[in-house]
Amino acid sequence: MSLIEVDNLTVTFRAKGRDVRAVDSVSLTVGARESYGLVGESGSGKSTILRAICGMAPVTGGTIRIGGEVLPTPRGRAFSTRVQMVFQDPYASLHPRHTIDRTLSEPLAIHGLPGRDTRVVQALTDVGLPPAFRFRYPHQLSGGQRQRVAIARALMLKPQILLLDEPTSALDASVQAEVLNLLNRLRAEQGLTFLMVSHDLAVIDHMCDRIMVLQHGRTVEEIARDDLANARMTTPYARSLFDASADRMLSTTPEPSR
Amino acid sequence: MTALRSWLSDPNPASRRQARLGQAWLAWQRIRRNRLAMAGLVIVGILLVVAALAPWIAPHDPLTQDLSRRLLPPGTPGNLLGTDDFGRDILSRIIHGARITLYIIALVAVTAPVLGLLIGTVAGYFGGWIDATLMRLTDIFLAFPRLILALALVAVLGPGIENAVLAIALTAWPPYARVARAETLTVRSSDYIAAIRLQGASAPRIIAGHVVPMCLPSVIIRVTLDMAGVILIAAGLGFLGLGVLPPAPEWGLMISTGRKYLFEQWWVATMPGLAIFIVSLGFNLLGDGLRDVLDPRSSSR
Repeated sequence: MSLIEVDNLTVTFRAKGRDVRAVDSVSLTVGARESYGLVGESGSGKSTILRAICGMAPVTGGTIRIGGEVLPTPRGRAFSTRVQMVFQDPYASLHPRHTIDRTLSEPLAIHGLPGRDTRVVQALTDVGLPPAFRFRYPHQLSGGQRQRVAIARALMLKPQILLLDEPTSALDASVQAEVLNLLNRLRAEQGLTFLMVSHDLAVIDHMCDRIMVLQHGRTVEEIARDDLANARMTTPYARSLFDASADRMLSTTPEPSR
Repeated sequence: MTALRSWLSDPNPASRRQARLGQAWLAWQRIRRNRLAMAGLVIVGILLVVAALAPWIAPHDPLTQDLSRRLLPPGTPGNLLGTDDFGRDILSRIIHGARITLYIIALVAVTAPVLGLLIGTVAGYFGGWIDATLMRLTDIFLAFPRLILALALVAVLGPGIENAVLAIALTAWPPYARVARAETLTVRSSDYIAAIRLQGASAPRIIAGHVVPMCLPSVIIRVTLDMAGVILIAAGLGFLGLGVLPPAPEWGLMISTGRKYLFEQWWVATMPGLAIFIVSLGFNLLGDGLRDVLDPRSSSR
């Protein structure tokens, strides 16, 4: 049974009296414990799909189901214990005036969960950060460390589904590989389902079982991982994306430097 | 001392309290490097000490009249800054007046910014018709000159120190609401607010715990810069006979009584005027320094 079902999703932004259709009749299904990638150039609507699932984009058509149930609007607390998101820019997604401890314990406080101290320390070790970082402020951490904190925060409520919005595009190449490996390890350990957005096919290839190529808000092609690795895509647009990153994809792990 | 310093500057604090104190210590280090801000801090500190110890440092009772010693010039033995038209010692009156001034400042500082922050962050966070309503209300208050509005309020409420404070607070909040709303608008669409919303946080929790901390620095800076204005409005109300009532030693009131003798006995009005000037200057310097320390845009963090 599929965990995420998106059916004919349409998102329309209204800007200066003009309707902009960011996502146009996109359908996709993601099974439990699967890792699904959305690829496309900027403006193709891939991030908007994630935001629509979280209730942060104006959905004008179609339905989104998680575990067979249509999501309520507004999303509510039950949603936040099932689905969490990791944002693109770790410099913008952590509150600059809160310590790491506050950032990580806030979800527990909201949901009234006990055992804050142990769970915060556990979350830090899970993402490979020393517990000594607990009372630091975000400006005392590097970009990769911040993104680890953001991942730890997303996992505080033990969600089933993690939405990843270009989680590594703000990081440099070596840190990128570390964070991707961390995400893969966490997925295996905690049985997570990933819905991941990237413009980089090499990242998607490293992470995802199936991918969908988007252009101008429409589905271009859905490709399984084996077909991607063997360059068996049917549309010219998907092929041109593949050619752009083919040289980095042939090695199984991304190179530490470009 | 060195142990304390290394405890404060420890990059890996062991507790919430240590992290917070460490940040405060860093801010203190930054403000200590700013000479003008330190000068402002010293002036404000002196005001605090003088107000606290007024009955013990004042050489005379501020209310005791002695008509045989009226209008003595500064430098007279026993009356360092001279005496006023009822023979009261001006220095003692200024020292006791510091208490009234501080009382007014403290009351305004805890009421107006809180009201302004609340209105500004709520308007900025929710947007839409809530924003429109609250901001038009703010516009109405901003459309009147502050002193005129304060005068009208005091005229309705009746003169007295509490009413003066109330009038000043009710006219002082709109700029804070504006500042807070502007900050809220920049913060509202940020990823960390989206993240906490995604964690299921309620609107009051987001506003109080996540939006207000980002607005606080600019509001605190505005408050210290506005303190000079508050002192002047309080003095203005006193001068017009609508603030503190005689014979209380309020600085504005003292200037008002000295006006009659301005040309022959200049010191009666000048001495409290100098006190207002120095204290206003102190708050302005401190506010400027705090802006350098607290404003995240001006420092490289």
